[in-house]
Amino acid sequence: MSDTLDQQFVLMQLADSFFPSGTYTLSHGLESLVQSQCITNADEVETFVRLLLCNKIGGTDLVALAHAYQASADNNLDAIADVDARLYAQTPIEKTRIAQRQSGRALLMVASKTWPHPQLTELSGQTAQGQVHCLHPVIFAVVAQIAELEQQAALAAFVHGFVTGILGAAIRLGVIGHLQAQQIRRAIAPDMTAICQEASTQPLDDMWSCTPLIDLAQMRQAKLSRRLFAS
Amino acid sequence: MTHSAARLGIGGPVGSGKTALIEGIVPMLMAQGIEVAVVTNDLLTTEDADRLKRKGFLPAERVIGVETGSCPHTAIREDPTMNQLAVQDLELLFPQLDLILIESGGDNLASTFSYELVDAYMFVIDVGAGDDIPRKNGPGFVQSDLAVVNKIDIAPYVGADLGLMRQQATQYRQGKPVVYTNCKTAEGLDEVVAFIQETLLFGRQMGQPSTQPSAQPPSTQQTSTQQTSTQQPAGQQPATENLIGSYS
Repeated sequence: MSDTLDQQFVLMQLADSFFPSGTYTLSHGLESLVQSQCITNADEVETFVRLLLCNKIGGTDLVALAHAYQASADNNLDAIADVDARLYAQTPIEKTRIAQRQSGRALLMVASKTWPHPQLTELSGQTAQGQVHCLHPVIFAVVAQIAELEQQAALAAFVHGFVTGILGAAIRLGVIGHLQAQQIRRAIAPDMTAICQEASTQPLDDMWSCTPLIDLAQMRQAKLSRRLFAS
Repeated sequence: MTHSAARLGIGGPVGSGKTALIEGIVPMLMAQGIEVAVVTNDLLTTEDADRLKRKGFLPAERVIGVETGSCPHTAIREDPTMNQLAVQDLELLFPQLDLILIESGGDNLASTFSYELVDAYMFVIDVGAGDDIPRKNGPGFVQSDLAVVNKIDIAPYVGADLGLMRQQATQYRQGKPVVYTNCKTAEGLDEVVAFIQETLLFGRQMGQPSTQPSAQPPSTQQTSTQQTSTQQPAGQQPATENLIGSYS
């Protein structure tokens, strides 16, 4: 009973947008799509989030997260670095790689103070020396494992944080209101569940994504002369 | 965390003169041999960073713009991690830095900095926003380590009672320092620089005693920041391609 409750509270701490890792500065291409008026209403925001989840995050970030979690549980730092390198190779858009790295570094910085652990110390050193890319999903997996979350809970926490971040960005970009954000969040819950379940069964070699228009928007983000978001 | 440069936050409402203040004091600090860099959090664009770069007094790579996702106060208080990373990157690339200025995006009077991000911060208001600002008791204005009341030259044209502002600023800040400036003419900027020297740099490179006895140390944390100011943080060469290029 108390173990379960403890874990639930850890899950909430890690999944909460209150947790400081800079993710509120990311829109994942939404800002660019809103500026170019490709996305103008709640239905389009919902489609955007669903596409990102089912065609990108589920097939790449979550698969990497699941494998990094296992590597951390095995205390295998080489395997963690391998997952990090493979996810990096699966992330061809520079702006997205930078964002992944920045939020990974921020998470590592905060987690090292909150849940001190030799794996985090080692990863900090490797990051400073440029030996790992320190991508957010990989660091998130290691932190969750160290904080004693189950693998499924780690996946759920990551997806929740991701969705909350995007919906918050959508509100600040003025395309949805606070009620619509909650309605979208509820509507995509089955997709969130499905990608968490699938990710833990996928081999690293099968990582994939297919979101060409969102990819182009993420590339254009770097060129926006006026922007609120880093991605 | 090991860090070598003192960190000074600069907050205040939109248009109060934060960037103009930086443009004014950076050359004065540099003239005293102080090594400076700037992190700027403009809300809408990288315009502030570009403006500072265009001025030419700082090398472009010493000015970093950090996007804040429309949350300027979050970036300096609840979740300052992106600014902390920018500071870390600057320190790795320029180990000789003495001072890093962190300019918040324009915000309201409640905007305060986390002392886990900065050693001290200034809050800039302008006379044109109304002579009632000091008595509104906003946490940013009241709690900041130095309050800067800018654009004092326009007081007669906007119906602001500067005497009242002086009286109430002193009253509400309970003895904490207030400086009155006109960034266009540099009036008062020497007092800002003196505050920085006394509070953060401890007269470093100036070799002269304090001229502003009213300035108080803002926090106990700051005293640890300058001891290693010219030393490279322990460790290896930074992987530079992963650092500053992250910001645009």
